[in-house]
Amino acid sequence: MNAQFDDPKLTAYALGESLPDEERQAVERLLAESPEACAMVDEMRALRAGLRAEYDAQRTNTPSRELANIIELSEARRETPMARSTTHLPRVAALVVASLAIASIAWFTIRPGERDRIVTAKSKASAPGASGETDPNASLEMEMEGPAGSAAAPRDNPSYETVRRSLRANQLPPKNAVRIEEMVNHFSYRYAASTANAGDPFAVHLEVASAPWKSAHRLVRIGVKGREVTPGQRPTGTVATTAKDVNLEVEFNPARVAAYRLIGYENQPSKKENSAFDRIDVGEIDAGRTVTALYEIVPAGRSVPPAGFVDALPYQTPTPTSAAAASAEMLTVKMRYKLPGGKISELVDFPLVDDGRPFEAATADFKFVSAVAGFAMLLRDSPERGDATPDSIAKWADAGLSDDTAGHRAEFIELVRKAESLLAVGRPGPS
Amino acid sequence: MTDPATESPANLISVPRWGTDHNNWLRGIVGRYEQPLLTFAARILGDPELARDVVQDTFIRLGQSGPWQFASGDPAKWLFKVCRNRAIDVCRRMKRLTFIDSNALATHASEEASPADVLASRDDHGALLRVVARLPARQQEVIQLRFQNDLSYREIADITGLTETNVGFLLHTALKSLREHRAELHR
Repeated sequence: MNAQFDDPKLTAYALGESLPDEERQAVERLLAESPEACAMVDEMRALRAGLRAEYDAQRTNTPSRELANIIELSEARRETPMARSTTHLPRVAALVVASLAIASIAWFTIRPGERDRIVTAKSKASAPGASGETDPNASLEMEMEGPAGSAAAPRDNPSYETVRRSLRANQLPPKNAVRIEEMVNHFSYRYAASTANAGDPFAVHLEVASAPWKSAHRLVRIGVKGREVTPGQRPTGTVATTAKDVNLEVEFNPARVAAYRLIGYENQPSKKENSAFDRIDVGEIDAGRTVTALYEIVPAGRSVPPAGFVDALPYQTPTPTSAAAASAEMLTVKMRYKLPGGKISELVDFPLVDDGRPFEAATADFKFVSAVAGFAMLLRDSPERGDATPDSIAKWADAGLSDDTAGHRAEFIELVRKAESLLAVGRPGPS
Repeated sequence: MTDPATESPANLISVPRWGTDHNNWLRGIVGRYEQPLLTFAARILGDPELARDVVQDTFIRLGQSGPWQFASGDPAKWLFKVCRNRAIDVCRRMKRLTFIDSNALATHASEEASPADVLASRDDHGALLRVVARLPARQQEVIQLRFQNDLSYREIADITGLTETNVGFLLHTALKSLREHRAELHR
């Protein structure tokens, strides 16, 4: 081929791509004086026509049955209004703490007979369109963490307050007043600054170890926090807008996970047996600093999952040759968000490989949050509490005391001891 | 296609909202893009079943949004971009490609169609696409985006993370190969 015609610009012209005037004129001059160039353009256009025709011949224009189901699911979901509390927050205050409304949605794909079934549990903020319907400029604002690793004070939290008040008054709190997820999120945790995805406004921190209340199970901690802003970078006040429409999705690898349960959220029970998809209304989580979610996992290869767990393989077990089986990850957390003012979601994912570590080898924060969850389960008299006793819970929590300048964690242990004495007399033992 | 982020609120309000309109819109989009996305994802993943999962997930995400998200109501660029990111996620998870990047995609020609396969079927139906299947994956990708889905160089650049110049170069190179291969086929 003549070097003169071996030019991407000639191809772009032939394909009808708009060129800057100068380039277009140069190509047209070449075409005017060179029949060879004209033939080249004709040939490119013939190829374009041929390719388009072949692609058109493949078109179906009818959704497959599986996707027709998805369209119906989409319709069903619209019946439930999405939380929008984040869009009308006053922005004048020096300190604005927005709520991150998270509603979990679990999707199941219904394709019996198919291998590689992966159940995904999705936590979702408002629908992507929702903010556009109200105020397109509204965005979720997160109160930023202080300098790296600084422990922040616990936030007001109705459930934790209730527990504290009751125990201080020498009474066990009403079981249903104890909300595990609120208890867990009452405390801030020392999530390390993100290094892998430094550009993202959020970081997701994952840790897995044995569940202290049931050593055959694994406990996964998912911590989300807004990006660190050093004092120098911090804008006026302490608020920085980081992202909106934050959407957390956990995808379990059925080759590693037989079943799982999201700890807490008992007031929004999951109905996941055979329905095509399900929605867990998590409600609102005050996400000023960190958001923590815990999953208890029954590893693959164990027997039938206990009640209260979601089977990660609702229809079929994976074949050993499946691609998923080859993957080392236990789960992947996918974080979707929009940058302020943006309408297109960004997606970052955080895979977690379970290295099989025992609870004893977990971080201090992991042990502490385990204690909080265990205590809440105990107060709820939850059947999932396993081996948890006030004494063991206090021991797990002890590990967290190394990072307790304000004394909130010590107070927690005090409450556990108080509950221990009340439980000894006030409530029948485990049934 | 204009950047959705720059659309005025007035435009956002004027398009259909949730309801039957939304459903019909979604149905139309799925009908139009399911098969192109399957081909697209399968090329990255090398596995039609995984591609099905990825495409399904892409449409689930689309179902969570609506036509007002996209200029002219056509989310082609968004779909391919999301689908591509998902497919690469899965690739990474499967350890098939560690840190897939433009180099990996550009230098690994498809292994699915051997030259023998291509030469064995000389009928014209789908002949060009069989040749396309022999090109390096990155070239296949831009060819599909351009000729199946009529996306501009700019849009293809957005989806693939390449520069516009690079897109032009890849299309040019791919078409050059197609010309040569076709000449070979018809000899």
